[in-house]
Amino acid sequence: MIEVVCNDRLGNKVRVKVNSDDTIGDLKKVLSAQIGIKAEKIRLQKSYSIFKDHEIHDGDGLELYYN
Amino acid sequence: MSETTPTNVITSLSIEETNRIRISLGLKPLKEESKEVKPQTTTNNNNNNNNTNSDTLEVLDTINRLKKKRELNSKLAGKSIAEQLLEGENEDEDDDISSWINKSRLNEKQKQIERKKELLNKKQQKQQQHYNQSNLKGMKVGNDIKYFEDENEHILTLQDSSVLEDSEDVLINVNLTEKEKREKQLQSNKKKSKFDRYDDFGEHKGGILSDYSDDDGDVVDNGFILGNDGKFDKDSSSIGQNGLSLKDQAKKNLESYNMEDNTTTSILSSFYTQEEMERFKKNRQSSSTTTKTGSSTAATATKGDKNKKKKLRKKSATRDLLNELDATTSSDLGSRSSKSVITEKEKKEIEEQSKREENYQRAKDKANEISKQTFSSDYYEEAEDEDFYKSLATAKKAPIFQKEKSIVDKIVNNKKKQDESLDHQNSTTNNLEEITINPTSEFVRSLNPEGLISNYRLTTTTTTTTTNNNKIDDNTVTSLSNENNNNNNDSDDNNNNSNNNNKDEEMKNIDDGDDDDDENEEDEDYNKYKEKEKKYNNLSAILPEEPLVSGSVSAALRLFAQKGDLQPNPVTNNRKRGINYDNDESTVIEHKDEFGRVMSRKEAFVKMSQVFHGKKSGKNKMEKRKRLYEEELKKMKMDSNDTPLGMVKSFQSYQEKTNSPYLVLSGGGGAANILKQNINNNQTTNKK
Repeated sequence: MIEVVCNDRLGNKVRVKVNSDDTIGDLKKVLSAQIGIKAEKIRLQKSYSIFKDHEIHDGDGLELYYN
Repeated sequence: MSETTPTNVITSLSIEETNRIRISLGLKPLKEESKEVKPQTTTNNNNNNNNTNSDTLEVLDTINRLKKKRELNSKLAGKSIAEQLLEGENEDEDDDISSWINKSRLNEKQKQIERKKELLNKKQQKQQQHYNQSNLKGMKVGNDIKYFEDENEHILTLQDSSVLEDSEDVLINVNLTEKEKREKQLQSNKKKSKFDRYDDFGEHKGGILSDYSDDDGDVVDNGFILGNDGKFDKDSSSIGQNGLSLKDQAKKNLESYNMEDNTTTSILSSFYTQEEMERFKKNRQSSSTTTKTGSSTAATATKGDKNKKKKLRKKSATRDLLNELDATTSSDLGSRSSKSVITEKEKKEIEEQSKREENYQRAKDKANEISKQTFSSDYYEEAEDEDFYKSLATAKKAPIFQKEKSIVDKIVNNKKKQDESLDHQNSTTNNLEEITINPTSEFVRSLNPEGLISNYRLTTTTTTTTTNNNKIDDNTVTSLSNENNNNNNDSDDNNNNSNNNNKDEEMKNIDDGDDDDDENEEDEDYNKYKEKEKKYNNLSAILPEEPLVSGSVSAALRLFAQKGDLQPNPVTNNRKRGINYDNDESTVIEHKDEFGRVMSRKEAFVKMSQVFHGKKSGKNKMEKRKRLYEEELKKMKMDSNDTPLGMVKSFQSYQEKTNSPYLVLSGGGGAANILKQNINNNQTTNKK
């Protein structure tokens, strides 16, 4: 199990628990269920690189944007 | 479930909740077994105490977290406690690993500290060993004992030595070694003077080897060895005893030498005295004397002298070589100079010979040229002689002329002059007759226009004229040829041929003239008075054409000019100049003119250039050429013995035809009848 932190930069910070095998799409689905926003509208990003097929490790911090 | 708020909020769901969500979404549940497997492997029984302490702290943390969650979240799940327990176990596992790492690090640090302590202990032990005097047993000290008698401190260090020698270690003070070297250098300078003195007394020592042996001995004697305890006093005393026992005599000698050396050194170091200067001079003089005398005895000479002699011998040897080279060079130079001198002389002789040969060749060439000229002149003379004899053979009076020439040339010349004067008198008489007698003037008047008419009639009367001319030509040619030869010695073949041609033409004219005279006599009977008036006009016209020689010399010269007697001889002029290419038959190419004449070089060039360029000379130039040609023809027709119009010949021909010794110039029917007969004869011939 992995735990990832997603920061909204608008006042919300979310911890999500995920398997190491899961993809980012799966992570977005879990976030949508936990936040209440559609998975298509979520964009995970780290400083200018948008995460689509990237690897994620335990304790990583990601930036969360709402398209 | 949980709701988001705009303020700073951290939201996190439990594992069970996330599993529910994942199942609803169709995803796999979270893996929890992976953590359960790890603690079994990592747990250690030794670290149980630490675990308990950490557990208590962690419990407090969890409690605080739960409090915060309760404040944030109104609802709470009952299973959360079990989850908290699971989380606590997991955290313990993590703490065990970190604790293990820390322990291992501490162990390593302790080991390193122990190792360092051991090393320090060893070093301290070694240092203690070096500082003990007992360790310095058997070590040598390279410096003399004298320098250590003072109570001052001296630092000793190991002497530098090559690795390969494997020699024993030696202790030395650097400053003392330098002092020793300086003293040795001074002694070496002094020793030379020593050897000089002994050699003067006649003692023989090892020569070269003595220097080396002394140096080696000094090195050995200076050093001393430390005792068992490495103390200075015992060692010094022992070494002193040994030195005395071994080399008592040597020290005594050294002391004596040292005293002398010191004195000399003091004097040299302070300043040079007159005595020393004299010594230097004496040494130089001695060296010079040895070179002059050439003595080579080894007993008397010193080492320095030997060295000097060796150098001098080398120099002398080099000088001998140079002398030999000089000899060879001098001989070579002499030979070269002699060769060069010989070559110069030979060159001069060769040049003189060449000049002589050139002058001889020039003389030969000149002689050849002169001989050519002479041969050419002889050739021309022979040609003239041949022509002369041919003319004489044709002539009837040949023997008479030969006799005259054989006797004296002057007489011949005088006779020629008399003949010429007679001819002139005859001509004058003829002229007088013309003026006085009318028929003669008529006759002469008739010739001029008749000449033109005769030319027209020649074509018709060719057959008759040839028969008559053959008979007449033979007689006239013989007489004329004789006269011409007498008058013109320089005449050429061409002129003779041309004269012959002209003579034929004259005869033709004469025949025609006779016929015309008969016609004129018929008219005279009717118009005598008219003709008399015309006579005077005709005479005035004719006279300037024929100058009167009796009047003046200018007239005579004019006459000669008309006849062509006063022409220069270009051949003679050309002969005086160098080679005459024009006269050499082998090289001459004759270019002939329209009229059949031979052209000069210039004329030929002009014609050839005109042909090449396809041009002709101008109108005036063409008229000039024709006029000159006509003049030449007139000249050729003329005779020296006759007037330009040919009166004498006409009279002679008339007499021959009539076979009468006289000629009737005026009168009645006699003359008229004769003319009529002639006319009739001509008419008959024309008919035939």
